[in-house]
Amino acid sequence: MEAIPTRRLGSASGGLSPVDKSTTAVEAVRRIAPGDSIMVGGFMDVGAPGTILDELTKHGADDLTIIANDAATPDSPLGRLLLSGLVVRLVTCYAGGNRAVQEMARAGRLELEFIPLGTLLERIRASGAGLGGVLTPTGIGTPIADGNPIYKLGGRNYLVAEPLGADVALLSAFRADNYGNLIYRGTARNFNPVMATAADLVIAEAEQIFEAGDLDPDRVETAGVFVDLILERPA
Amino acid sequence: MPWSSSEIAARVTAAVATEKLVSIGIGIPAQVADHIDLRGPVMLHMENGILGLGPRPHSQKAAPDITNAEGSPASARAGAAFFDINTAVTMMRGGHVDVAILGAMEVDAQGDLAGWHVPGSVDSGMGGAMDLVVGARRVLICMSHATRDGNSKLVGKCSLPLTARGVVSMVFTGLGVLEIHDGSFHLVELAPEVEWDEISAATAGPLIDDRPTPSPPDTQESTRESDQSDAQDRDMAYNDHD
Repeated sequence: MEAIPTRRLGSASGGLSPVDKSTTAVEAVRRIAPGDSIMVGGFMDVGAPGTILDELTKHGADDLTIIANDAATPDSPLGRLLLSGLVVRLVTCYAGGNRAVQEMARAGRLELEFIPLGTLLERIRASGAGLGGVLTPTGIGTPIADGNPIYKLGGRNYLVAEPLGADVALLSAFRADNYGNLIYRGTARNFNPVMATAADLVIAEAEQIFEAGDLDPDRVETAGVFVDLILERPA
Repeated sequence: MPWSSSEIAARVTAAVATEKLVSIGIGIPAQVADHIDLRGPVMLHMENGILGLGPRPHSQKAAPDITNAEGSPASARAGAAFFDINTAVTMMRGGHVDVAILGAMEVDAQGDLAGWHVPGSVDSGMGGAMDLVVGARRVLICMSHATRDGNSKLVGKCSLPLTARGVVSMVFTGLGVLEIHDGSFHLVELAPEVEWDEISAATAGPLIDDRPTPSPPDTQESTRESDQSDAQDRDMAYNDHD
């Protein structure tokens, strides 16, 4: 794939970032406390913040709740964190790539909650967008609906996807600037843009970090205002 | 010879050749990308955020960050687009998908689909399957005809918790192609060298022979009961399952 073009404003733009949010993985992960709920971007390790996740596994804050699309694989950064014993609960839609996580759940060492992909998305989106919930037809007629209120609207039945926020979101991008503007590449977008909106502390890593002003605003997908800390992924 | 998983994928690819937007799950359905005609109208969608999948590349030719929903290298055909989960789900649940091709643990003669949960066992989760079946115009299933333990996956009534009710219109297995309507499976094509008796014995739900050139038993209901007593014995079918 060709590199995404950026607009260079010249050296005069350097240092003009409203806030310089660049930091290191060690510093960023220090902000994560025991008991935190943490959203993790990525889809089967693609677009996952591997640098931050590996540092978090080393850092050792425990009693964590992870909210992620999947459990990735046992040898991926997210998979390693899930198997480290630091995580007590995983909210996801798929754990099929990580049998070790499934075995942990079977043994009662990890609470596993499955939510359909679209409902997980809407719950996160509702939190980030200030909605009281989203009505979704997904899961009607299945055990997902059991015990939940059903709303009838326009002749169709719906379940409520209630807002789901988190203490922290860990994201991955292709390019960023030091104000936190993010540009993604290929299928590495996935949950990263929506999770950026739904956590109190948003930490992103990117392959390359530019000075604010050096990314074309037309190409920015996650506005820097959503991002609190940004760090560069080692090559 | 029963069809291999690649041959099942090729057969279902042919069945959707005139559609516009076809969403595919993981497992056998993911192999549809290897068979798709890149000069044809079909744009393949996967829930990780790609429309316009082409054949899976050899690893040395793989581009970074172009992957399928299994996290494996993918390719993008002319006209392709990448997007986030919000757009991926909007296409699925919003009624934009013509056909969804998924795996399953069980399909029954009413078109009910079960593929995410085995009570008392460790689950893989439903992924995006529940969202896909809500929005897709047609749902086609690609799977093995029986579990690894030999239990039929085409049953009279699903015993496993449902992914969706009454949505499946066709099933593609190693033994043949079956349509579902009027409370029965209807055989429309047998895999080469597979006999009626074999698919009849392997199908627990009611089965009717609807092949264009019917061979002797025009109508025959299988008498074989699926073993619904022990869900633990069932094939977890991780790889069949979206």
